[in-house]
Amino acid sequence: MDRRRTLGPPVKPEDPSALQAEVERLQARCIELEQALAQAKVPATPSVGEADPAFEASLANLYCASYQLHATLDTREVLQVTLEILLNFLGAKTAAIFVRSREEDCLVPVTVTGLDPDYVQRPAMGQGRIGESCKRGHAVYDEHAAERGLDIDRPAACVPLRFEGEIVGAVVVWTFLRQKPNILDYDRELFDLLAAHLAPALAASVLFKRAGVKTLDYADLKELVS
Amino acid sequence: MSGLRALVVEDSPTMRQLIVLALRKLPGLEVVEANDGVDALKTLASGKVDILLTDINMPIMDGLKLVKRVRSDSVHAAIPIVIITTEGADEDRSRALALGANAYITKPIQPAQVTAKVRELLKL
Repeated sequence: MDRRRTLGPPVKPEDPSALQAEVERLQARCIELEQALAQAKVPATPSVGEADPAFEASLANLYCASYQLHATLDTREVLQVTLEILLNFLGAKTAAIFVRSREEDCLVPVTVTGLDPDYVQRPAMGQGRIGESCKRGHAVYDEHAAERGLDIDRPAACVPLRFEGEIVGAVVVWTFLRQKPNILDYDRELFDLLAAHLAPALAASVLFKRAGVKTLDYADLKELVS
Repeated sequence: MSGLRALVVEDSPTMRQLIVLALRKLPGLEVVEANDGVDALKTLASGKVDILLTDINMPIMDGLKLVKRVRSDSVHAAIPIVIITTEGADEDRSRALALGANAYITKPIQPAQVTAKVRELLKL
């Protein structure tokens, strides 16, 4: 641990605003250290039969996320569920879901949380960290985002969404909640789930609406499965 | 443990499912759900509740108003209340505890953290 980072520069006792700032900085540092301690306490290889709370939490998150994502064919609900996953399970504070526009060759934010939607740009494919991540099809995680704070051009996580082998959008998180400022190892599993499941869930909701289908009937199914 | 009933108050179905999933690991604990504070008060009026777990930010009636209402109701004033919220600031925690909440858990949660707190408050 960097002792200088923990203690910070000396503060003159007669300066209340500096003292307040120091208290806030130390509180934030305490939260960071508690998170680090919680991670360090998770055994790398828990013995058979021993509960691993972080692993259990990860499995429970994955189960609920996939259950809820596929429990609706309403597009708004799919987007809402995704925001809930980002906020409640991953601790995102500012985030957005982008969908690719082929016409404009850019990524369009379709839902934004924690930010004024007008503040969020439409990155062109291949441009900036978001556009580049989507063009390459690789998720990008920035471990130092918490130290930097909100920087619209440098998200903490950008996860491209796949559909039928193509990149059709992205989930982007810029900042996380103060009590969970960094991405944890298990978070990546949940991001992977969104990368694989969100686009199909959105596509299914769009197709369902367009087709005007009201229910599932064997007559509709038999041609497709026989 | 038998015959105990927990009420989970949360407007997000995703989060509610996670909390309910965690609590169902506790044998003998029946879990009932409510979507907001008003919905929770109806459930409280209609049956026994031994512990209440609530979010803060909810439509219609938020979690803090719910805590206040429960604590001012002579029938339910002693029910242990756990706040589960994204609000991680110290002042939010202090406010909730001052209103009468027994515990304050910030999201994202670990299911084990929630079950441990319920066990502690129900003295199981």
